[in-house]
Amino acid sequence: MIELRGVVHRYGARTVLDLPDLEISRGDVLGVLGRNGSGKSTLLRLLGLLEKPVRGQVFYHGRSLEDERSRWAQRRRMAMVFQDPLLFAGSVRSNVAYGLKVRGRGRQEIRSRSDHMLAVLEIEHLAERDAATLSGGEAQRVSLARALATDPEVLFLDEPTTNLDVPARQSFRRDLMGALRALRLTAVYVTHDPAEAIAMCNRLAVIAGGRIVQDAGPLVIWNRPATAEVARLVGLEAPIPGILLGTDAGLARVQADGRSLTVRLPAFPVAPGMAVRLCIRPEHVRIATGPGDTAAPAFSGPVEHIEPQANGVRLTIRCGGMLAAWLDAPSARSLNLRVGDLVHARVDPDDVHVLPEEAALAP
Amino acid sequence: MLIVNSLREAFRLLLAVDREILEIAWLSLRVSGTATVISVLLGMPAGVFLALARFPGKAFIIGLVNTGMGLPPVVVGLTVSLLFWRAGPMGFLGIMYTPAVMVLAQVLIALPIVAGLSLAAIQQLSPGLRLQALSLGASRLQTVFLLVREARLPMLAAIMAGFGGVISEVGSVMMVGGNIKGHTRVLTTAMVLETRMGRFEMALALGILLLAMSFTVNAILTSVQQRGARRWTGG
Repeated sequence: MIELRGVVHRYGARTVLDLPDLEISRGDVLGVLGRNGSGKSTLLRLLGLLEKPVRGQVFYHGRSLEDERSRWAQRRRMAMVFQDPLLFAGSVRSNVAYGLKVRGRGRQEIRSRSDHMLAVLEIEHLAERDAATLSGGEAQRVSLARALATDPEVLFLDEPTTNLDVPARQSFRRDLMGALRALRLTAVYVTHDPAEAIAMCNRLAVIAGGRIVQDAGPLVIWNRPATAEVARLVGLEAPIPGILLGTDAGLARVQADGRSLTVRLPAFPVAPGMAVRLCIRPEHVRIATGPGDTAAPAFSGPVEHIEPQANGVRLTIRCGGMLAAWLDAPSARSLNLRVGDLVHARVDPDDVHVLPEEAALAP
Repeated sequence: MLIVNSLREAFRLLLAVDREILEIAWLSLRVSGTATVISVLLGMPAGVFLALARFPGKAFIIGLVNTGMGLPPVVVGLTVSLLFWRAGPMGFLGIMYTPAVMVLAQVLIALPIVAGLSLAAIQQLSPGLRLQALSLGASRLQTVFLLVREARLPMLAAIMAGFGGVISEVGSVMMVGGNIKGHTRVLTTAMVLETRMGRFEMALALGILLLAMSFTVNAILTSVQQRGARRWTGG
């Protein structure tokens, strides 16, 4: 449906985007995950035909859109929601109707479609309110209703929940997911929040330094990041160093923290003696205070840091590298750990993701 | 005593609805009103264009516009006089010492004010608004209309500043109009003349009328402007 071929975009001498190839199919809800300044919003503006790439082409339905007239015609088949709601002066109803008005739709149609969208997003009661008096959450729902009212074939969302508080964010996400499913929309969702990307999207592209460094299913990226940059973005901050000892029947043996561990065979070519890094999600680590409590602990070491969180604690354990572990509230209470306590950690081989050393150390 | 007597006489003249004063006031309103309308018609699109377009030399042109916002009326009067003097390059038009050339001089004063403030009005909007309108399917022209609508409060301030600048100026209209009785005499030039002649009551009457006219026009524009500004006070 949408293809980017050899796209390069620059601001002055600085290259902000370099995408040899990107395809978005009908029905994709593609998350674009990256840090601030990684080029994700620029990508959205290129996809939304709001900017032209310095080099390369953007295709919609196989057509390259070069002249302003065809770009404008295509823009009318999509809509965008930005980080700021960017509501126009006037009532909520007039905002929701804007896209239909500029398309020259009849009054009756404008009224019925606007009312329908206000109802879908449960904001009918705000219809006559001055848009400037809305709360952040209300304003962002109006912005979404305004975009959806135009019946777009593609919806672009540029970090739409960043400025919302937690309850408003959750309800906005729920409504958005409902709308995406109900309208069977193709969408591109830019965010720097991996949990949000995983919850919202059926495909995820991680962007760093203007390049897509991994494009896969959300859970693949969550559990098997391709590089250290991706690992950091999904919350795996300090992969543990190790040496590959050998492989056997779909598994590999790795020496780390002075022990030999069995892990899932990496997807890249391996050779004994190769330096690797081990990525382990905190929620996949099981913690015990005595070695007898767990079978074959993978790591042992003192607790370096304890970070209380809303529904548990996050531990950092010193064991060759730094291993993060997650304890739910009851486990945290029963273990009652303090900084400096010796703990043992066990991890299933399938839950250890191995990165080659160079990928792990790449910026 | 002089002030009190002059004020009393001034109000008497105003209440007597002096025909000469009315003619002077009407010409003032015509000349400055026409100059403001022309300045708005030319200056607003120019300001919007300068705010939205990208072209080489844009910063230089904005610098010129900003300089023009403080253009001394006597310099404008001198320049227009040189151009439209009988022997000047535009002298063949024969409009020196007519209301037409007074309008022209005042356009030169108000135009940069309207253009400069319109430019600032658009530039103070969030750049995202333009992208938002385009992403909702607006054409370029529809986007410009939306931005002007969003900036209507400072845009109206630009009109008020333009009108205020020309209705109160004396230098250029005196030089290019000549303050000819019944022909090019406006409130400000008449006030200068009456003061010079020691007829303070007449000068005061003209001054009060000038203030009243200026206030009325600005009050109308302000009421329109403040209708859109209620969001700040929740009214």
